[in-house]
Amino acid sequence: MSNEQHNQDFKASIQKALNDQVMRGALSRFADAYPTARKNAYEGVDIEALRSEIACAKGKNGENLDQLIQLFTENATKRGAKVYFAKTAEDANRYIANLAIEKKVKKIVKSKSMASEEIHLNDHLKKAGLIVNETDLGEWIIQLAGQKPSHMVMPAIHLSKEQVAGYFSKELKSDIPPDIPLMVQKARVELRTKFLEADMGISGANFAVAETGTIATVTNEGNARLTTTLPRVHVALVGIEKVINDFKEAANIIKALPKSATGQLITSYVTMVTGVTPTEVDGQVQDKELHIVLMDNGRSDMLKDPKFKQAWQCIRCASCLNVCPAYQMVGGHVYGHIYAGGIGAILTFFFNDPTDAEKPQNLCLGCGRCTEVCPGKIPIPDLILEMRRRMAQKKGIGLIPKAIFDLVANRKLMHSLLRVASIGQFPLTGGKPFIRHLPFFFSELTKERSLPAVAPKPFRDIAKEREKKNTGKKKRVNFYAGCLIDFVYPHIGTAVYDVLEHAGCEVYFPWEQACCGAPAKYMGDTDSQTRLAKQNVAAMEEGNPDYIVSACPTCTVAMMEDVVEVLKEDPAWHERAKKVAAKVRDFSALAEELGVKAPGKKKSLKGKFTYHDSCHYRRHLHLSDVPRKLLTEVAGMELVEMKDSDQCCGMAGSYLVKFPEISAPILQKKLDNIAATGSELVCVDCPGCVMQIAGGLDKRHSSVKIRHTAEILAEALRKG
Amino acid sequence: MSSEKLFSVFKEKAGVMSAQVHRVGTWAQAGDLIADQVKELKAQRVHLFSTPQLEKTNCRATLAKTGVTISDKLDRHELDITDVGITYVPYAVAETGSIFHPETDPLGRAVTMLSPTHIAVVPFNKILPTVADALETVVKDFGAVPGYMSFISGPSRTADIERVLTIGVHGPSKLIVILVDEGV
Repeated sequence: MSNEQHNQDFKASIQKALNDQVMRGALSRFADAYPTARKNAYEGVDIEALRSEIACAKGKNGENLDQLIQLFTENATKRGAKVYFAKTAEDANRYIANLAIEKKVKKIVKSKSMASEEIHLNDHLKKAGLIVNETDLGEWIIQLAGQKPSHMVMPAIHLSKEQVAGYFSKELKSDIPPDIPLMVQKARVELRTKFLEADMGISGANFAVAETGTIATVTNEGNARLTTTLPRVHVALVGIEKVINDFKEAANIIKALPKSATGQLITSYVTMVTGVTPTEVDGQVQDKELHIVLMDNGRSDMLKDPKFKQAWQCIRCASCLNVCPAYQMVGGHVYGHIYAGGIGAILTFFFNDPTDAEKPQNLCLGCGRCTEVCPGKIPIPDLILEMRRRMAQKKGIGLIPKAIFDLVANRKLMHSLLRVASIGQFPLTGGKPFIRHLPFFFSELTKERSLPAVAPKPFRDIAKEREKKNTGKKKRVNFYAGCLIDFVYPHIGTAVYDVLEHAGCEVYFPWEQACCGAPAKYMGDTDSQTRLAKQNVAAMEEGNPDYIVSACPTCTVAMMEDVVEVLKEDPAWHERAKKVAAKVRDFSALAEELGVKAPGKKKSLKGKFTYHDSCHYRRHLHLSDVPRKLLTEVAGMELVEMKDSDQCCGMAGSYLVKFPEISAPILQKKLDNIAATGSELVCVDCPGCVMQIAGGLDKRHSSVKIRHTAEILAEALRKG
Repeated sequence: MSSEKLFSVFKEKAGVMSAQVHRVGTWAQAGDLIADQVKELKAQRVHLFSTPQLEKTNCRATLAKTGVTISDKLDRHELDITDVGITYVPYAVAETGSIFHPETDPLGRAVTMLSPTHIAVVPFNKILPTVADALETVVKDFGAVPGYMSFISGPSRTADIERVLTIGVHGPSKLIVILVDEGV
């Protein structure tokens, strides 16, 4: 398939998902309920300590994998199990099919196993002439529908009861109404016969304990217990990442998995099988056979990778999907293979085929909400970026993005073009500060939001005028403006100057500063990122400042962390980068550090505001409390929290260019949550979020205003 | 944690998991309660998994008085049509409101799985604080890891269709736990 065709197919699958109102409704209802359910389930549990223990233990399990597998095999074998190591999907499929034939098995029942979905086990067994029935209700529905799961834990979340009734009616050859309790009863009766008649039961495992040779399933319906109890042969298909050390680690997984997966205190059943146990065959007691298939299928490659080994810490709870703004919009099927979401793209990259992960990985907004809830503390967005970087190295980033980054990295050319643009855009804005309609292919971008116009006078010109007053005797702050403040929102820059000067600093604008390099980083273009890092480090050294301040969290992270990381191979530049990075502060953090206070005794501003947490600001800089404090205590305003204040606004760097169709509904949700507070003002600390949210508010003709924290503080200090 | 405190946590959490919890003083009282529950359920067939502890409840005799058909045969087809399964379960776990059932006997397992109601009799002094404690205790008590162990928390449930919680898919739709104060 050509790349263009591949791209079009992917875009079409996204559009199909976005148009699927049933799925959108189900995902949105679950996403709304999940955070509270999770919080309640974890009540009284030290989540952070638990996450650390799990991440650390799983990490160690990875390091000791060979010994763990050996120990598991020994102990399970001692208890009568047969352990088979399957290097590949084909090995596992062949072993299980041959075993079934050898044991004269005709009918098989299966309980839920993502590993079996991964290797298309059912197809192989069917080809071998075996009758296989899924017994997990969701998996059975998927099997009847001839589909694949759209969520690791809730496989049929994308289907409506009417659709399910249709599949049931066809299978049971009678008219089944879309009544959920009735359909569940029908499934119980229908599948009960399958359980009683099956010769073989195939299960997965949520974990396998090396010290005891135990395999465990964590389930709600009871089908796994029946699958592992009634048939005379039990096969457990277990990915090798599921092998853990001991019962102590098992107890932690039992504690975290249900709470993180569905917000349940625990599932109805946690079943642990150790070796061979007796079963009943034709009224007689006999030992059942237990075969444990430990499957690699790309897992050890992932473990050997110095970066991706972190994905070993995954316990497959799918809480990362439950909080993912992109997943909530498009569901699981657009992720291509079996595993969905950001973690799905990573697993597919190793378990299936890197090319299958190429398109889906782009769906990651990089907002980091997943990492915040992950019981294994996996930095999923960082791994996605690493994947993107490797793909870009291998295939290039595409001619148009390459040309854009070459332009961005050429500071002078870029800046003169932006100046020209500020004049050229008048026909588009009609003299107003927003671009409401863009011609041609850009039109998708302005459908749900207006784009801001380039400012008539960039901040660098304003800064030049203000610097005339500097004496060189106070604390020196170098301002890193970033593209948006410099060329679109210069008034935010002015506010930053006002506040910092009020706090007794002199603020300078190093003229040679260029783009922070984040857009290049998010596209995987390390070359451009490195060039920009050198240029900015050199620029920011000017005048040996006490602080370097930025009012854009993405730029702050770029100047505080990325410049150091990207220049680490070059010792001289690395040293310079580290020195610069150590002086970098985000605006609000510096305002707090300098102890900015209202001059008068009276609180100067009145009224309510709501606050939107920008992704980098909250999850990378961990600053979400600081602006709330500044805005209430210094500016004197009253905070009304909005629902999901920490959910991405859909801007996410270049996301709104890559996926305007997903970015737009994410923005609409944000606007609804803002409106629900009844507040006329929303504050943020990121000019990117200002751009996204202001555009959405404008398009809605909303009277709500959006302001950067610096603007409100500057106003409060002026009035005070 | 005191045993009363463990009980109150267990009761609260088991309630969250939709299990019914009762507490009685003696094994004999547990037997009476089993008969009452079976009557209330209008059950016609019950299946027992006989252990010395369950026999202490004398529930066979009390149930016989209700006219219900009692079986303890290992027969999956008979088990499939029974209304109530009755077992002794040696532990409970406070933090999750679970009963903890280490059982390798196929009948002992099937009785907890196949009927619409499962009644479990559990010693009051065996409510353990956590899942981790339960796993540690069972290995000590049994001298080895039992071949088949289940933490059972409330009835069988699903939310696979439209995220609507529905009780009783493949396992029981009702879990009744009777805690007995009197020692084993």
